[in-house]
Amino acid sequence: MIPFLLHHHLERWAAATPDAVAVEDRGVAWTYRAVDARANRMAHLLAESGVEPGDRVGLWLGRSADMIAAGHGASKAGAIAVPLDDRAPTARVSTIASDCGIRAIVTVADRADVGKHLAGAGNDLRSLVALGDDTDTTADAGLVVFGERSLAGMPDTAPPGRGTERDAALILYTSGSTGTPKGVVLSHRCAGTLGEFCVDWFGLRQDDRLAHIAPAHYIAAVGEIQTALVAGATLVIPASDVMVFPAELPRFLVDARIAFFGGVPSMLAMLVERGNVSAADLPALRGITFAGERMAPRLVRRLSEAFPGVRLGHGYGSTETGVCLIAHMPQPVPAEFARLPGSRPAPNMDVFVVTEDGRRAGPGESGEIHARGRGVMTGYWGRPEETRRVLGPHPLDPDCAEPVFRTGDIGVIEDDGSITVVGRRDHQVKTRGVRVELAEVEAAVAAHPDVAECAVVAIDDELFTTLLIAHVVARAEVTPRQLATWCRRRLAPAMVPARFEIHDGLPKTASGKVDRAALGDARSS
Amino acid sequence: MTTIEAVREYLLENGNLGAVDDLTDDVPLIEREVLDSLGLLAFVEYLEVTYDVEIDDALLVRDNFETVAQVARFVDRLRAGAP
Repeated sequence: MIPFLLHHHLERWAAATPDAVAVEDRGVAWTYRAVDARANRMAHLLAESGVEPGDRVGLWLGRSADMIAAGHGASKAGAIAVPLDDRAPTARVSTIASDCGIRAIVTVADRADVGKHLAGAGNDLRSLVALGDDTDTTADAGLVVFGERSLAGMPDTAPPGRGTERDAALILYTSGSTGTPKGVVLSHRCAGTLGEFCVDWFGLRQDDRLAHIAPAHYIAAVGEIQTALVAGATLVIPASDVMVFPAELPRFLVDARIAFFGGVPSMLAMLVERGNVSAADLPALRGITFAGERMAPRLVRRLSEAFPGVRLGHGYGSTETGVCLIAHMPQPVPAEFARLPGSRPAPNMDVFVVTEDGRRAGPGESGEIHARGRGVMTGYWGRPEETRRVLGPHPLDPDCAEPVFRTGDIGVIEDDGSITVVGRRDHQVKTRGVRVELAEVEAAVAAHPDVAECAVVAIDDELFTTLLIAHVVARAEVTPRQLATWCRRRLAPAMVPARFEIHDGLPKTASGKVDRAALGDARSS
Repeated sequence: MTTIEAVREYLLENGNLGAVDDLTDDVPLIEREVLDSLGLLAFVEYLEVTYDVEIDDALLVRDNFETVAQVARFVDRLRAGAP
């Protein structure tokens, strides 16, 4: 059988190489058999708790073997998995739970109380699975809480398969321009293609060990997990602090004998500038990918110097499209390396640039990047209008039945036909690899009762590529610290401005709009 | 102000306190993600400037930044000239 549902790759290797290690989670090895059995038990428990095919199941777990087992369990139950940011404030999780009508949440025992709080907040949450909890099943105010014992009592055999590759498998929440997060609905085939192409691109094998370091609710994490499961390889999960201390990531890569990993530019900058690591320490390493935001040519050269024999791949994409465009860096990277080579469409993707007057852009021309293919989302959950704004008929081929995604990114066609991404059409920025709608951050700051006016801009930063700065006009005495605290209760951590500056007024353009360029906004033209 | 008070004050102002109600001396700063990579580097810069010390990258390890109390002890050791 050709795998077509999210969990098929796991099942395939669980049958073929049951004793191979699928996941190494902080030193604990989980075989393919063990992960698949736990996923099967989860699927049965979710079904028993009343989860029907198409229902949404929140996964509030963070990067872990349990997250992978629970996600595949949800898929086996025919449900739609909604990975939740385990660092986000409860208010944001609550917003998401209401937005997509989460029926069940899988979380860790010590967060079960927060789950009960969520259930009281007027959403559709009816059941909660508290992993690691040894107490008996309880029912309280309409919420049934299952513990580890209920899970262990379920059969470890696969439930009957259901669904097609076009059914929704995942909802990933991203920053929304209207001020609230929006859910990107991805089908089983979107999720699958993320892993399949990477295995081919880097020639990954069963005996390879791949790093799982992206936050669990990002599409990059889906890519990392699916890549390992497509290859039948081992996914290695570090302790959370490898992303905090500069010396920890290289130590992890060395100790875990990693063959392939991906990162955002700020992480790779930290690795090569401050990690004190070289290729000799990493004999197994064969490939590094980077994506998520602008990559400085200087940093590519530093990577090449540190890891001369390693393939360096550049990916461009979004949660809505998966990986659209890819490019290999020359190895070694020449000394006079002023810009990255242009990119080509990823496998299973049709990517093209449309000029302002509606033509397919040719060499030297620029326009909006459009994407069609297996990676493209189904739509935004519960937002038909926003979906129509970005996902619609093919602008150049009226006979094409499949919707095309307008990325909002501007691309230039190079002389050789490749595409270079040069900017955005709107106020979406990337900071530390996370996509942020400045409007969402502005809405959160402006909601503070003492804020009269605010503008959030992105400024260039050597190490972190981009930093968010909030410029605020106050209507009453308010301190940057109070504003920061306010934002931390409402926004995901990467969205909280690095600085708050209080002004008497904001600079305006002739038309009366905030003069973003005068505030140092790196993206304003 | 003692070092421990200064450290707490800095983190109250600049840390990610989404998962922390009360920043006591022994709240695990990394596990609760009060500090992330960007936060850590800004914090280190603050400590270097405020206490006129140099903090080598090799000292940026979990043991020195685990809790408010450990950060304060680490800084006091640096000020006394011992790494």
